[in-house]
Amino acid sequence: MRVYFDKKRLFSYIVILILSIVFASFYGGPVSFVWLYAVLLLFPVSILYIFLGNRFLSLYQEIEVHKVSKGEVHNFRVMMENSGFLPIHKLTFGLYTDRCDILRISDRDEISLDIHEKKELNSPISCRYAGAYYVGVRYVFFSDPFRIFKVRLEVPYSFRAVVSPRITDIAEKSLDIENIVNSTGLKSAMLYEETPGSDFKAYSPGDSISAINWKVSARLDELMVRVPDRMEKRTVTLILQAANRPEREQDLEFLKKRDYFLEFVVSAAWHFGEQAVPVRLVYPAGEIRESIVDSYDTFLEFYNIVADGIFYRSDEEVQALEKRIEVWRKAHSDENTFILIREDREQGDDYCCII
Amino acid sequence: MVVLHAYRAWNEGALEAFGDGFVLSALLFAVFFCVLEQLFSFFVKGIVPVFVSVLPAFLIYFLVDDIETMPYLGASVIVAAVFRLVFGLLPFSGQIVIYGSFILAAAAVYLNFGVHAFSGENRAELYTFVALVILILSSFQHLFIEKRKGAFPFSYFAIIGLLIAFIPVKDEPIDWTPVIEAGERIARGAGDIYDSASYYFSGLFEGGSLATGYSSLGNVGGKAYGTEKTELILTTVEKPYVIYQDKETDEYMKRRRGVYLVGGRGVDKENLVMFLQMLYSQDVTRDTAMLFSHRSEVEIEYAYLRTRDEIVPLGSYKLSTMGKEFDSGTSTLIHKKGYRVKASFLDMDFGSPYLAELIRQASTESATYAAYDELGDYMKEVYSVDLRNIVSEAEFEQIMKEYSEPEEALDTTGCSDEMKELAGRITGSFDNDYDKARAIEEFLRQYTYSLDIAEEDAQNVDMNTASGMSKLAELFLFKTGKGYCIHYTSAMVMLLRLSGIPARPALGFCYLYPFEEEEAYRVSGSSAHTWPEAYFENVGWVPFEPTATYPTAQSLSWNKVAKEAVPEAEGIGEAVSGDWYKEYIDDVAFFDPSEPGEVTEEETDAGEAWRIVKIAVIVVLCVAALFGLLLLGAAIVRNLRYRHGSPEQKLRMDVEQIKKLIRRHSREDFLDRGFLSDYVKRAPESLRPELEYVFGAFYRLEYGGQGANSVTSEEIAKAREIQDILGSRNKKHESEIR
Repeated sequence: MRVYFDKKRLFSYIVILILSIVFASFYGGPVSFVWLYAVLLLFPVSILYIFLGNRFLSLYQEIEVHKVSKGEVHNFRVMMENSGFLPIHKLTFGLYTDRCDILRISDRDEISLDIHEKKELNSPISCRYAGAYYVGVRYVFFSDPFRIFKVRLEVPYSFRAVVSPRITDIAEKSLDIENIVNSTGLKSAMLYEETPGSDFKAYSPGDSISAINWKVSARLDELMVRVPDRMEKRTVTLILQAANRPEREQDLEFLKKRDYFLEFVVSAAWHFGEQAVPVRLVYPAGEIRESIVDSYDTFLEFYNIVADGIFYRSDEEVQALEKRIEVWRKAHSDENTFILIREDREQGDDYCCII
Repeated sequence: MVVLHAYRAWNEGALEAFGDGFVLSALLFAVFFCVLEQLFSFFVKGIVPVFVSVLPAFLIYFLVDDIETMPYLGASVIVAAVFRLVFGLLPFSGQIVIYGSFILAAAAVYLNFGVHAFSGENRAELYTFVALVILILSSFQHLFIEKRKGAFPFSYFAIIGLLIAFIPVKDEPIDWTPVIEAGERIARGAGDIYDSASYYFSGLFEGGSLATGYSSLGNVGGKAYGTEKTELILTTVEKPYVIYQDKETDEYMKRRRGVYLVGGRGVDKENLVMFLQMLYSQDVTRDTAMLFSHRSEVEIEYAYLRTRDEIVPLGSYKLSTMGKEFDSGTSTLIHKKGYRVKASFLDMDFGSPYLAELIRQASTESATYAAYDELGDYMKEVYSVDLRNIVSEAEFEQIMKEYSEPEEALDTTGCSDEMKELAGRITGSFDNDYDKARAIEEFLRQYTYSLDIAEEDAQNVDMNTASGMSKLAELFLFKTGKGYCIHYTSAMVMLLRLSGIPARPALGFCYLYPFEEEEAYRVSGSSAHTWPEAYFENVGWVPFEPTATYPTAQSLSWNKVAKEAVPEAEGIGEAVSGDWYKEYIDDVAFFDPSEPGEVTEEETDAGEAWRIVKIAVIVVLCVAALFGLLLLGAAIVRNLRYRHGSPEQKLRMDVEQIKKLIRRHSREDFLDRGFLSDYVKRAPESLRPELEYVFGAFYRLEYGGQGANSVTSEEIAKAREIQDILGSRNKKHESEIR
């Protein structure tokens, strides 16, 4: 709760109060005393009125879809009900304008609610960052009748949006550079051992002669070749080292960082998933978890959990991930590539590095 | 209401027949009709609530019209109803109220200051003004804060009005005395700190000005100023007040006690012996002595005071410090802060008519003195104190031998003939010394008390000399006509001496205890005082109080009355209450306490009260019946609309009804987010498919657009069926709860 005073009006009120006291100090009777009492009671009754108004105000907000995508426009709805016995006059909102754009609701909108009245506000909303965070109405402001002071009260139930990142190619550059500089075969993760497969297809020019299965060809009266299976020669592991920050400390700066992190991670996963290259993802989802993305479906599975699924259950999980990174760093292998993506990095560190 | 009220105030008498009761009852009826209208408007919209709300007025009119004690009730209820109707139906009534409130406020202010129309004691006027003030606030808010775009809810201002109605309003302006007293207490606290500092450093720096206080009474006569510096702290187990029965009213009254603390005298053995001799010679019994004297004890702590003098109560017979007894009046060492003296003394009521009569008789008749042992036994019998523990036989013998009229107490050096003539004129008509002394005391009390003595009149003289006192007395009596205790005392001492009565000034404190008991009583410098003492033959020294601002012994009297008849004193008050002194002092103002007229309250006849209760019950029943009628009417209208409505309208009404029933059935509170699915979840499980069917039809109706299928009779029948089931379930559920 926070109280804001309009200094000019407060000064005017104090002047009127002093004059009323002086008036009542010289003249008795209802003219001076009733006026003085009224002036004196303005503040306490306003506080009581605001307290009751807030106590009986129910405010519910939602976005029509379960999953929100960054930058996309969805419909946002605010429902208000005054279940009290006193009308609510011209309350205003404090919106999370730093993280979302609510097009038809603004901080200047004044809402009055009669006794037991319900009102609904609808507006398109667009969330600016990927991640899970509160959007919509953050505060309600009540003011006294003479606008001398304004009380800011936090809305008990803000709407927590789960915003999926956009699928971009921002990670590709980093991965390409790593490939060129280190020649680690990140890009050449398509190095596979080919083994004769069990599927067949009709021969086409360019197919290896050795792949022809003569028995089958004879039976079908057509040249048939075995479709080779590709065996993975190397594995790629993406380690997503997310920042461990409690939710209450997740400010705008954090949201921006998390947004970039998620977009980068999704981009990296997409990079491999698009090429049907299996990539192992190690990330904190409460506990440290591993997922394999090797197809469009597995990519989607990962994509769906990434927006609000990246978090640590406890500090021990942070340490466990760090320990695992240390082990992989030491056990260097040509066949296995470990790429570390750090949300919080030291000065001068790369966002994405091979360990 | 306000207009009527203003009219009444302006044209006094026009509505006199009805009086304030009319205004008050009309106001209350108007509020009652407004509340009814608000309640009815929950069920019916438009102007119907305005009409329905005033219907009880007719019933009330016939019920109250013949109440004799309140003849105005019938008229007031009709006036209130008419006002309610007029304001409810009048176009722009809101605007009229907004602008009219300012005009009425101006009129009220004019009436208040012009003809003193309003009184806080009169509830009708008070409530009228409360209504006006909240109207002004509301109108001001609407016009100047909201700029005519929606006013703040009037309920806010109504709450303020309700609260004010319960706060008492006085006709007198604010009394800031408690605040000032609190400020003084704070200032005293700060002053104590300052006093401590100045006390401990007083040996280093000499002050140049004269402040009231014990140490300032040596060289005196000039301008002085009062200080609240604590000089003594008294501790006593006795009550600070006496309780007596007023002769006229028979009521028990509280009166503050006073004590004279005299400096430099110690145990005044001579005076004690002579006082006892006076009682003994007139055969005063213990019971009679208790009418004007008793044993008392007090502990005196020196605060911001530096003196060698022992400051103890008059009549002290036993003094001790640190458990060590002493009887001298001064010490070889200067007493400083923290010095304590425990004093046992005979507290005497010099204002008692019994004592006055004893003094009067003793001073005129010859006395029979008791011997040492006789007097010792007598004191033991009367006060339970043995004189032999206070005065040794040798001391006693010496006192009886030497104690006589002190010659130096008759020194009138420096007195003018004019003063001598004045003394003669004051005392000439009295035949005994005591009455003469009282006459001089009464005479001097007419002079003005003032610490502000002009520069040219300021004379620093020694009060211990007759010439010093003469100078002060001359100046006071014949030139300035004003002064403080020094001047009063000097004048009385010299006038007494000129009348042939030995007199001396006494120096110390005159302290009046507060009404409330305290752990310790702080005696400030402003209580430092000097007063005259007159010597009467066979009595000794008796204190008097000529200083105008100090209470006389009579006004501090304990007012004790003997259970059995004792020689009744002839009222000395009568002897001096004539106008004999007025030829010397012009323009004497007398305070004439006029008793406020008794306020008699009319007793409400029990029968009338019972009748009013019955009327109230009838009105409540009538209002309840109106509510019932309204609900019934609303239900009938709804039924008719349903019957004659289109299938679409029917479905809409059915869905609304189903929602209401589910809400009532649901134990938990839930916010209607506008999703019918929320209602389905809260409905009984067996009904959910049917509900989804009906709600589906409703959604189709609402969002299906023009091409959508119309509502079928089957869907409406299903909706009715669901309503019936839900209704019966609710009833069953309610009966289960019961």
